[in-house]
Amino acid sequence: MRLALVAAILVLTLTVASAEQLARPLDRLKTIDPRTPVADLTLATGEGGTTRLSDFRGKVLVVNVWATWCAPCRKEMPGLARLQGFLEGEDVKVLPIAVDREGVAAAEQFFAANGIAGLPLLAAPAKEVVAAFGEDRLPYTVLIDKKGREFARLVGPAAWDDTEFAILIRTIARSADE
Amino acid sequence: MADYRRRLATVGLIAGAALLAAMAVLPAGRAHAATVVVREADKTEKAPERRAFVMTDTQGRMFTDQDMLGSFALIYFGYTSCPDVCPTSLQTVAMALEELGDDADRLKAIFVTVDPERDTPDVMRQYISMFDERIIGLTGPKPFIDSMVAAYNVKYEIGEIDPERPKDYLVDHSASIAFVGPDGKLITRFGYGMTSEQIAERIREIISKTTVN
Repeated sequence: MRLALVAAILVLTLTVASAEQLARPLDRLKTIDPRTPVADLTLATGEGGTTRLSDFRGKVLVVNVWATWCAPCRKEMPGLARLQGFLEGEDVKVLPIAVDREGVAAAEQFFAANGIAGLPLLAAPAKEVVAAFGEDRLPYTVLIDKKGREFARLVGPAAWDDTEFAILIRTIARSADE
Repeated sequence: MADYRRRLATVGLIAGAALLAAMAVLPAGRAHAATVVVREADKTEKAPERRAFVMTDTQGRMFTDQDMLGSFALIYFGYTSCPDVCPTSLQTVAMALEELGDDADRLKAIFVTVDPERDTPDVMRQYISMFDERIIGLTGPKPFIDSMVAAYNVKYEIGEIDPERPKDYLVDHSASIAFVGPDGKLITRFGYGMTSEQIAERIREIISKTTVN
């Protein structure tokens, strides 16, 4: 019992410590006004097939563009996995898109080595992702509404398991379509 | 008469010496002197001089400006452990190489670290392998790096992020990609934000206008 308590405190401390180093999403998010439709990217999946961004229409999407060679990207990935965990059962999908040359295989290796679960394995060629979102830096996260329109973007890493951010996303997901 | 002969001998001697000198100089000069490179006006450059440097590649071998002669070169200055936002320039270089196809054989892509403390040859080798193994990674003692940075008029700064002003974190926009001719002189720079297609297209254009005879 005591051991479990100590472990819980330790985990909590570590969580707080890791969150401290990353910015709070709400401090750095830039809203996109008016909301703009995003390009319908084709994504390679962990199962060896493909999917499209439009296949997720009807859900609020947290699209995170990352690469295994990008240190801040690696750092924020556990937070993204926790965010997806917080929002289980909601109309929210966290979609990390790897732009590694090795594609899904690179992401798979990183997820396995770091115990990241609950996030889909997705990848797309860097060129197509740059064309779709127009960013030449990593990482960045694009928030997309149920109609496939971008409504906010954050360039750089953030603590995505931030409670206020999770509440905001859940509120947007539960609100009636605009 | 004797005076005339002496004068003739002198002229002959001078002509002979000149011929010898020319013979000695010509073969050495030919390789570079005959390369005609089309250059773009660059506001930041006074004259496109050949810039000397001595660095170490990721295999621990010496790599100098002489090792680039005869090839075009793309030179990018950066570092592998970006603390906040990572520039995707090296990825752009790798994609440009891919788009260039066989034309890529005519150029050397070079990644110079400005963070030698963290970017050991091993770290760089591993990092480069995630982009394109053809990219040559260069490092060296800090003064050597600084000298190469100065030679290519690049500015770099590595700063920690101030949480109060996260936007002030420096992703150095002046850290463009230098494009150097087979004579070791700068041709142009590809600015931050240029796509791999744009870079590949410009390289093709410049290469096609360059004659080596």
